[in-house]
Amino acid sequence: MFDDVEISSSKTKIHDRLVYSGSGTELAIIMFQNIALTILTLGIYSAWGRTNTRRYVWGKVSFLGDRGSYSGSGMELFRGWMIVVAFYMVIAICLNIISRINPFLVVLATPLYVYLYALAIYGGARYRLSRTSWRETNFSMERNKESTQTFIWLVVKGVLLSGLTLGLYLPYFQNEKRRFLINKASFGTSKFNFTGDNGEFFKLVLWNLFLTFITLGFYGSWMILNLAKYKLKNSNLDNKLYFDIKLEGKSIFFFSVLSYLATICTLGLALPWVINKSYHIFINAIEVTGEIDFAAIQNVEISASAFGDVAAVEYDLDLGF
Amino acid sequence: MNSDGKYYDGKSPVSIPVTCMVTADGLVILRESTDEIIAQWKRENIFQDENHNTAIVLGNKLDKAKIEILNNNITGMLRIGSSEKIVKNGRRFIFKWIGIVVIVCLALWAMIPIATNFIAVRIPYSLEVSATSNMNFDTYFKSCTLNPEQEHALKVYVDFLYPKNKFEKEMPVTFKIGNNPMINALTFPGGRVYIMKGLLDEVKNPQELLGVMGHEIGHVVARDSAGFFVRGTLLASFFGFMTGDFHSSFAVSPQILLSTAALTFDREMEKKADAYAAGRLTMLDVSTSGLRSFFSRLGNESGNFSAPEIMMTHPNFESRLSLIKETYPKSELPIEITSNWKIIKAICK
Repeated sequence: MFDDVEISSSKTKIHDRLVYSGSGTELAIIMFQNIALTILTLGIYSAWGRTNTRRYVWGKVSFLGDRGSYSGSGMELFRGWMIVVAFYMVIAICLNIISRINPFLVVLATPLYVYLYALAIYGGARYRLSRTSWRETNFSMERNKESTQTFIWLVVKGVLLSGLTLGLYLPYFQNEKRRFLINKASFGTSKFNFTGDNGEFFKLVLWNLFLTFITLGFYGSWMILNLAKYKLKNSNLDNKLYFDIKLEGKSIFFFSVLSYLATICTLGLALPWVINKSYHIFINAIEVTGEIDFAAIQNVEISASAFGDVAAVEYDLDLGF
Repeated sequence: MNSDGKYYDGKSPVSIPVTCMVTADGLVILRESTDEIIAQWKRENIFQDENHNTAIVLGNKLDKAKIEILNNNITGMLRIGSSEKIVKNGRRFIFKWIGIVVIVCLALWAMIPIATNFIAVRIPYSLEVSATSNMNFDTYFKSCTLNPEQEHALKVYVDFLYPKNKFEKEMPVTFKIGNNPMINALTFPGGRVYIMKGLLDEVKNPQELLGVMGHEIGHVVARDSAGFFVRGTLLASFFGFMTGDFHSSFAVSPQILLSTAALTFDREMEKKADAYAAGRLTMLDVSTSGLRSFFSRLGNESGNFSAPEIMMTHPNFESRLSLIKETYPKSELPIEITSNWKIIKAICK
C-alpha cells in the first residue's frame, strides 16, 4: 500500500490508493437492521435503510487519510419513491386505457420507457454524486435542460442502434454514456474527464467476450478487470489526477467462487461479509496518481432530486457507485 | 479537555490536523502543528453531523466547516450528542439483529397464508371472473369441441359433484377438455378447469375421474387462483424488502428463492384440494378408492421416482395417499354416471 504524499509549494504529488476499512460485521448489523425494520414498516424504512448503508460504505472509503461522506437522507429517497410510484401508476392507468382501445397502441409507450430509463441513469448518477463529498467538498454532476435533452437523445440512439445491430452497438453506447456522465461530473470546481475511444472499447469488449466464450465463462473475471481498468485508466480529474486499478483477474475469480459458495451455504447470511470483502478487494485496488493543488479547488453548492436515484433502483440499474 | 481532530473549512478540500479544546463558551480549534487558533465555535452553534455513522463529525451552524473528532471525549462535555449513533462492531449487536430478522421473517412467513386467505376470499368471485375473462386458454390447450351428447355427459359429471350449497352456487365452474397428452388437470381464475386428454385416457373408472374433478373444484372453492395472485404479491414484496440495494449481489436470484418459497404454499393448496375432493366423494357416497388408485398408479408409473418435495408444486404421491382415507360406499354409483362413462372417454378421439 502506498502512502506517498509530497507537498511541494501548494501542489500535492499523489501516488496513493483508495482505502476501504469497513467491517463485515458492522455492515451486517446495518443490513440486518434494515431488513427487520423494512419488513416491520411494510417497506417504508427501506429508504432510510439504504441511506444508512450508503453512509456507512461512503464513510469507510478514505483517500489520503480522509474519509468520504454521504449526505443523502432517507426522507429524500422516500419522497423520490412516492413520485416514482405515482408516475408508474399514471403510466399503468394510461396504458390500460390505451390497450382497451387497441392493444398494439401500447407499443407507443416504448419511447416513454426509454425516456424514463435515460432519466433514471442521469438523475440517479447525479443524485448519488451530489450527495457524496470528501473533505467536506461536494462531488456534483452538471444538469440542465440542454444536457438532459442531449443525454436522452444519446440513450434513444443507443437503444435503437443496439437493437438494430443485435447488440453490436452496445459497447459504443456504453462508452458514449460513460463519456457523457463522467464529463459532466465534478469534484468541487474541478471537472472529471473521460478520454476512452469508442472503437478501442468495442475491440476490447469483443475480444474479452470471445475469450470468455471459448473458456466457457472462466475468463469472465479477467473481463471484468479489463473493462474496469479501461474505464478507470481513461478517467481523470482535471487532467491532473489519474486513476488505475491494480488487481489480478485470478483474485476476482477466486473471490467470485468463494463468495458464491459462502452465500449459498449460509442461505444468504454471509452476504454482508461477501459484499464487504468485495469492497475491500476492488476499492483498495484503485490507485490515484498525479499532482494537484487541493487549495485551488473550490466547493460548490449542490441540489438534486432523489427521483432519478429511486427510479434507477426500481430499474435495477447499476450506476457504478 | 482536548481532543484531536481534522478540520475541513468547507470551502476547499484541505484537511488540517487540529486540537479541539472545550471552553466555557464552546470549542476552540487550534492548528496541531503551530497551536494557532483556526476557529472558535460557540456552544449553541455546534451540532453533531448526522450524515456520518462511521465517525463523530461536528459542524458549525454559521459556516460549512466541519471537524472530525478522532478520539472522542468532548461531545459529552458539549452536550451535543454521543457516539451511540456510530455503528459498532460487536457480537451482541450482530446476534441481536440476526435474531430480530429471523423472528420477523418467521412471523411474516406464518402470516403469509393467513393474509392470503383473508384477502383472497374477500375478492368478489364475480370480479375474479370479469378481471380474467380476457385470458384465453382455449387456444393454448387446444380445447376439444364437444358434441351435444358429450357436453351433456360432462355436465352430468360436473352437476353430480357441484354445486351442493348456496355458497358454491355463487361460484360457477366450467370444465373443458384440452387436447393435450399431459396427464394433468389445471384450474384457472374464474373457475375454468381444463382436464387434459392425457388424463382422460389415464383414468380407468368414473370414481377416478370424479376424484380428479373434485380436486380441481376444491381449488375453485378455496379461491386458490385469487390466492395465488395475492400470495405472489405478498412474497414479492417480502423478498423485495429483504434484498434492497443488493438485489444484484445475491448469489441465488431472489426470483428463484421466490418461486421455491411459493412452492411451499402450492403444496398446502394441493393438500387442501385433495381433502376437499375426498370429503365431497364421501358426502356423495362415492368411494375414495378411485382417487387413491389413480395417485398410486401415477406414482408407480413414474417408477416411484420422487424429487425432493421442496422442489415440487404438489406433495409426493405417498403423502397424498396417506392423507386420503379409503371410504367404502353403501350404494352403487348413480346410473347417469356409469351410463355416460363411455361417452366421456370418447371425448377428443
